[in-house]
Order: sequence, then structure tokens, then C-alpha cells
Amino acid sequence: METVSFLFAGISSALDLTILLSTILGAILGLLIGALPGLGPAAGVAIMLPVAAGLGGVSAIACLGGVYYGAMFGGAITSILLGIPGDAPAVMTTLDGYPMAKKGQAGRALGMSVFSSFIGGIFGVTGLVLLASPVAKMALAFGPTEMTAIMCFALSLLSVLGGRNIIKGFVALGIGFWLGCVGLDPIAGITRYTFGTSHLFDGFDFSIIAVGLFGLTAIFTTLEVSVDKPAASYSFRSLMPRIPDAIVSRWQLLIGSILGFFIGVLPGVGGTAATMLSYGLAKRTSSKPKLYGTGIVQGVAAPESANNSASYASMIPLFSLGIPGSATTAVLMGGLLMVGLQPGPLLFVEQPEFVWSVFGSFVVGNIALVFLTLILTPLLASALYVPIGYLYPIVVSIVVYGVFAIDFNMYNVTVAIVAGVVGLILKKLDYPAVPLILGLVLGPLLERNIRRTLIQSQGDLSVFIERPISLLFFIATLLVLLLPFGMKYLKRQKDGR
Amino acid sequence: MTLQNLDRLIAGILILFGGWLIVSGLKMGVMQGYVPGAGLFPVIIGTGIASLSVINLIRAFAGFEKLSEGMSMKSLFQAIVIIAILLAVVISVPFLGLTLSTFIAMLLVGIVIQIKMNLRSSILLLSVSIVTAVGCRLLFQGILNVPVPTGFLGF
Repeated sequence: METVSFLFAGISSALDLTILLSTILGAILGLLIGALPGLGPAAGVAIMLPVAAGLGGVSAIACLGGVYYGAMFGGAITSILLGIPGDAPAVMTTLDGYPMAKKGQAGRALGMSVFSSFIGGIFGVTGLVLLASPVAKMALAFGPTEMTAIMCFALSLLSVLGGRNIIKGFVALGIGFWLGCVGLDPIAGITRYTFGTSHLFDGFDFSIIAVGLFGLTAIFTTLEVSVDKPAASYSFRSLMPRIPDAIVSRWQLLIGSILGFFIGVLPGVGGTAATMLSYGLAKRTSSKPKLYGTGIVQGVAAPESANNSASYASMIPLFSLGIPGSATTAVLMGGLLMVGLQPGPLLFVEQPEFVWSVFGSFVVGNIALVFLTLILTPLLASALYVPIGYLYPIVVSIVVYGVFAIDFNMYNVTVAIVAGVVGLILKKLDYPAVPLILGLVLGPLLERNIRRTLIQSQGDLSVFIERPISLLFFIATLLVLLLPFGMKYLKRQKDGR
Repeated sequence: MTLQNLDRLIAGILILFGGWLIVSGLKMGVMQGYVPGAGLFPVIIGTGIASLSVINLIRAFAGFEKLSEGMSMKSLFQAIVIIAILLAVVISVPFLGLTLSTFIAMLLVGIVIQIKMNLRSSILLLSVSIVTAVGCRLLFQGILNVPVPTGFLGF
């Protein structure tokens, strides 16, 4: 009951004109970013980070949140109309959405995509509202030992499941850890890896690295993207969600929302895996599985509800534990830090109004996106035909201005460019960027917690396995690390048969 | 240089980098009595990076490493030129100011990316660059109160 009253208070403050406009602005930009192939939610939030931070407080996070879930809505538009996924989680939507468009049912597919995104979003935001606060309350009792174990679990999950090459995932994590070491060591009081420059005394600003690693790298790696296929035809009226379609897809909506939520909570798994699993499960539990892939609304409902539910679920570890589980939530964490707030359990105690206003803006944004997507779909579809020769110069200008605005110096722009170049090399060599950025964010926290624990235990390492919660998470970490070997063993057994 | 050779080179560099982290961490001090020193974490990180990179290097030489995507020479050239343009912006801001520097950079980036340059696309690119440069200045200086650097022309 207390949660409901907090949420209503949050929705009420989210309807404040400034916050509402920020939410809508973020949602529109997110729709555009999601619709454009190449620029995903992480790149979009990273590019908008310095600009949105200028809005301050709730407005900044409402805007960045809007970009995130707006991109989740927008990704489906190009998948359905052109067969080109706007972002990775929209890949599964292409399987049935595009065949529907080719059959002349583009409007029907788009309508179902909006409706299922809304249902998944509402399910996800409800779960976020109900679970974030209790998890934060529980986390208040955690000491440095438990936090060390939770972070090890989250980072191992992320590195094992986050990329194609697990070894390279851990190397990227190590590089991120090292970047996090740069600057003044708060415990020993000495500087590390500053190479004599005063710029590095406070370490690397995480948000600048994120802009380079996700924003600029996305530009460098999508220079070959071109859109030259004709769009499928549809009428505005046909975009309206249909009740019979909603009824026929009710189980797929439920499967997608629930599965998306639980997968979204896990660090490193993310929206893409949620869409794949929910599509697979929806197909497996269907009485007519062979129809999947031929262009049916159920094939759009399952992945779309899953990726939107997952996007909100991924914010639970961020807000309640201060541990981002994906690239986008890591960048979002940068936004929270830039407005002077440290995400984690104490945020719910010290800034409850802020937290509930942000959650309220998520509810408002999710509802607003239904109308925005329906109204803007024709515009978003045509935006695809804007050549990158006009689009990327705008993005480059915003990035330069935005990064300069963080600390009012051009040194940061140089750092962002270098991060962009490093991001390009890493991407081409299959080193995932997500562990690197999370290593940079969580490395200093992990180091501090390890050292605090060892100081308290007088150097005794057994303390990490003496506490039950810590032991539980370390066992889980071990299982995650052994997972690839187990999978390989099972595959060999299967192939042997 | 092929992508495979670059992969081997980076793995080699990372082995050396890991080694350097271990040495620098040991110099900072791993443990001072019961108190973990500033070098503990770098030593752990260095050991991890170096040992995993050895595995990567072996995999790369053994041909186990299958890189997912390459990059065409044209795209690589475009990316390098865009990086150079961005670095030129950093150098030129004290003389030209941020607005003029980004305006010129936008034009150059547009020219590099555009496939066909004709009168129509040139006018369009010029218009987009002017509107964005003015818009960014108004947004950042006027609304967000960012002290945007000015150049010799006074803006």
C-alpha cells in the first residue's frame, strides 16, 4: 500500500511540465534512435548523456530513461517495415513482422508491436516499482563482504554471457578495472597511473569514456549502413491495435512479459536474449508452431513484450544495488552520478522523492510512447531514408558540445575520441565493450569493498566464505564461470550420440 | 595488416601491459601488514590480463580465433578521416571557437561520408551544418549555461 501511494506521488510529480517535457523529448529521441539501424539504446543514451545532464535532477534521468525505452519501442518499426532491425533486441521481431508487412499487414504488425511493447513495459515497470524498494531495503544490511560477492557474481555473469568470446570478455573487464584504478587511491592516499598529468588526478570520467565507446564507435562502425528498400504500405488507421489480435496473442504477451522481466534482471543477459527465449518458448508452447516465421501477430507479441519488460527489469539492480547489468544501465548510472546521486540502497533512504518521481516518469513515458509511436511512425519510417551524410555530422556536433559541457574543457573531447578509437579496435577484434565500461564503473567499488573486508578481517580471506549471503553469491559465481565448460561438455555428449 | 595479425598484435601488447601492471603494482605495495596496499588490485588485474591474453595469443596463432566482421577499406578510411577531423576540432577551438570549429567539422564529416556530392546535397549539408551549429550554441550557451569557447571572430 505504501508503495502504491509513493508511486502515485511519483506519477504526480512526473506530470510537472519540465519533467513531462523531458520524458517526451527523451522518448521521441529514443524512438528515432531505435528506428535508425546501427544506433542502439546504449549509443543513444551515451550521446544524450551530457545534454540531458544539463536538465538536472529528475528531468535528466526521465529524459535518459525515455531515450532507453523509446529505443525499445522504435527498434520494431524498421524490423517490420524494412526487415532491418533498428537494434539487437528487435531482431526477433523481424521474423514475423516483416513477412506480415510483405503480406500487406504492416499496420497490423506495427499496432501489435506498440500494444505488446506497452503491455511488456507496464509489466516491467510494475515489477520495478514492487521489487526495487524491498531489494534496496535488504541491501542496506549488506556489508563490504556481501557487496564484493554480489559484484563478482554480476561481473562474471556479464563477462560469460555478454559476448561471443568469454576470454576476451574478461580481458575487457580487466582493462575497465585498470581504467578505474587511475587517479587518487582513496585508501592509501597515493596517485596511480596518472603519468604526472593533473587531468588524471580524479581518474577517468566514466560518462566521457561511455560517449566515446558507445556513441563514437557506433558512428565509426555503421558507415556502411544504407537503406534502399521500399517501405511496406500501411494506413494510419491500420496502426491501431486490434482487440482480436490482443486476445489471440494473450499467452505470448504473458510469456514475453514474465520471461523478459526475469531475464532482464540478470546482469549481462539483456533484452536480446529475452526476445530470443520468449519467441522460442512462445513457438514451443503454440499449437501451430510451424506458422511462426510466416507472419503471425503472436510472433511479434512475444519478443516485443519481452524486450520492453526486460528494459525496466534491468533497472532494478541499478537503482537498488548500484550495480548496472547492461551497457545502457551503465550509461544511465553515469547520468545519475552526473546529477550528483549515487545509485544504490541509500538512494531510497536519502532521496525517496527523486526515486519515485523517476519511476513515475517511467510510467508516464510508457503510456506516452503508445501515442507517440502511433503518431510518429510515418515520420520515423521516412527518417530512415535520411542519408548518414547529413545525420552523423549532427551527432558529431552534439557529441563534441556535450562532452565539452561535462567539465568545460576540450581535454575530455580528446579522451572521448581516444575511447571511440579503442572501441572501434575492440569491436573489430571481438572484445566486448560492455564488460570494459562496467569494469570502469564497478572496479573502484569492488576494490574498495575487497580492501575494506581484508582490513576488517586482518587479511583473512576466509571471511568471504564465512558469511552465508557472500558464500551463496560466490558459489553462484563459480557456477557461472564453470557454465561454458558445462555447455561444451553437454554439446560434446550430444554430438557423440 | 590483416585483422588476424592485428588481433595477435593486440594480444601481445596486452601481455606486456599485464606484466607492466604486475610490476607497477608490486612497486606500490601489495600488503602492508594486514592492510591491503594500493598495488593489490593492479597485481590481480595484471595477472588476469596477461594470462588470459597468452591464451588469446595461442588461440590466434592456432587459428581458433574466428573474428566476426571485418571493415572495408572505404569505411576504414572514412573512420580515420572522421577521427582526424575530430582531433582537428580539439586543436582549432582556441583559435576558431567551438561553434565555428564544429561547423567546419560537420561540413567535412558530411563530405567524407556523402557518396555523391552535387549542388543539392551541398546546399542541404551546408544548411544542416548551419542550423545544427547555431542550435547547439543556443542550447548549450543559452539554455544550459555552458561557457562555450569563442574564437577570433568573437563567436
